Amino acid sequence: MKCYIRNMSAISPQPTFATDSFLSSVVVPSADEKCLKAIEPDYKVCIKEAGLRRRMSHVIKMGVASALNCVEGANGTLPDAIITATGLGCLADTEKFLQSIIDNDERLLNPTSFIQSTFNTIGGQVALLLKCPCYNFTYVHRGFSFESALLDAMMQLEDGDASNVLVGGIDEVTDTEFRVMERMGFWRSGAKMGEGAQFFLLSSQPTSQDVAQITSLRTFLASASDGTEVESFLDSCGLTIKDIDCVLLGESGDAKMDATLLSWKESLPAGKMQATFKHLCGEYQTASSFGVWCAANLLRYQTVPDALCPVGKAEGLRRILVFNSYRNNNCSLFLLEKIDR
Amino acid sequence: MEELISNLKVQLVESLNLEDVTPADIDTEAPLFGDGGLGLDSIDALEIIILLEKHYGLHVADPKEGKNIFYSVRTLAEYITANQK
Repeated sequence: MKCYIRNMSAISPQPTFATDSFLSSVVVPSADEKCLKAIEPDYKVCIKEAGLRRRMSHVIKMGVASALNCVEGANGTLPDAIITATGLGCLADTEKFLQSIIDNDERLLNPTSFIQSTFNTIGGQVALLLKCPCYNFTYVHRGFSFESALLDAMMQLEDGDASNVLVGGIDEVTDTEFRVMERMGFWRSGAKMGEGAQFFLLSSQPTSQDVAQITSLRTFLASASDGTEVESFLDSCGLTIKDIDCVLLGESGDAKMDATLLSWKESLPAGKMQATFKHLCGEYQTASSFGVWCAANLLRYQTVPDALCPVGKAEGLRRILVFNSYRNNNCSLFLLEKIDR
Repeated sequence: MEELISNLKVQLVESLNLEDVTPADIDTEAPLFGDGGLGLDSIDALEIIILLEKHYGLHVADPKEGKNIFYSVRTLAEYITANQK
């Protein structure tokens, strides 16, 4: 069940949007900076419809701009399925709407923030702007949201229900969310909160312009882990860890929350190339989409930038394993491979 | 009346999140909806209904009235002046 990444786009706390370079320059947050906010493009350029744009909140603009950029760069290929993933959806609009309920004693509620607060707003807006009234689905599966969306996309392609699928992971940071999660004990032990919008246009058939291929993915819960999931995943792909050129890890920086991932990391053969990505994008439910974006770029550019903190060596980059973990609960594995030209 | 018109323009820009439009840019006599004015739509009409109720305590009970009341900033101001207790 493999698919080809025709094009991709990322809006993240790094200069990743509409650029030909891959993390050649990065924004390094200070030690006491606990929240990584996305570097936003000029939305007037990306989303030309002023009437739609003026009602869009931060996360909608991020998602829509990233999705449109992804499709625009695919030489006219339009998706026949649009699948979005989000952990918390349009949070700022939801907060605004709920606050308005409290402030106005459940009366006089503004329609705009209500309309825009639903989880599937981004998928809907993308469909409207691309004029693609096709299969449109949004996954809100906490730390497995992007994984569920990608699995759906791969099955759509595998079953022939779609030839080109636009799939993306989007989440935003809000001050309220940060404060609430901080009170729950998050962000105290090294992890930083983050946000972003990564979109991928996936195809069932390869072309000469594809970035990379996604060969397989698997999810598992850390609580049910017996420590053999990675080997079992690779075995199902006919591989062992020796066949992997680089392991890209989604370490949040909080050792307790990364326990399952770190435990497996210790078993890696000496010298195996490893790199990490979450110090660049921060921790959020769909951060794995940033990991997949990085892995695909590693295969495209055939180099591991210093920004990903590489350790070990690899002779060429042919296969990359992404291991992401969210709050030591949701663990996911993605296998990406270079496309032979 | 002029002070009310001025306040209404500020409130419209704010509540409708009008990008690149300042209160001074809004023509008091120009149509709010459709071509030739601000180009507002049905969701904006709902926002204006909320605005009237929240800021002026006015409830537009008859939807048929809306077309005339919401025609321009001046017609809105005239409605407020005539109906506010």
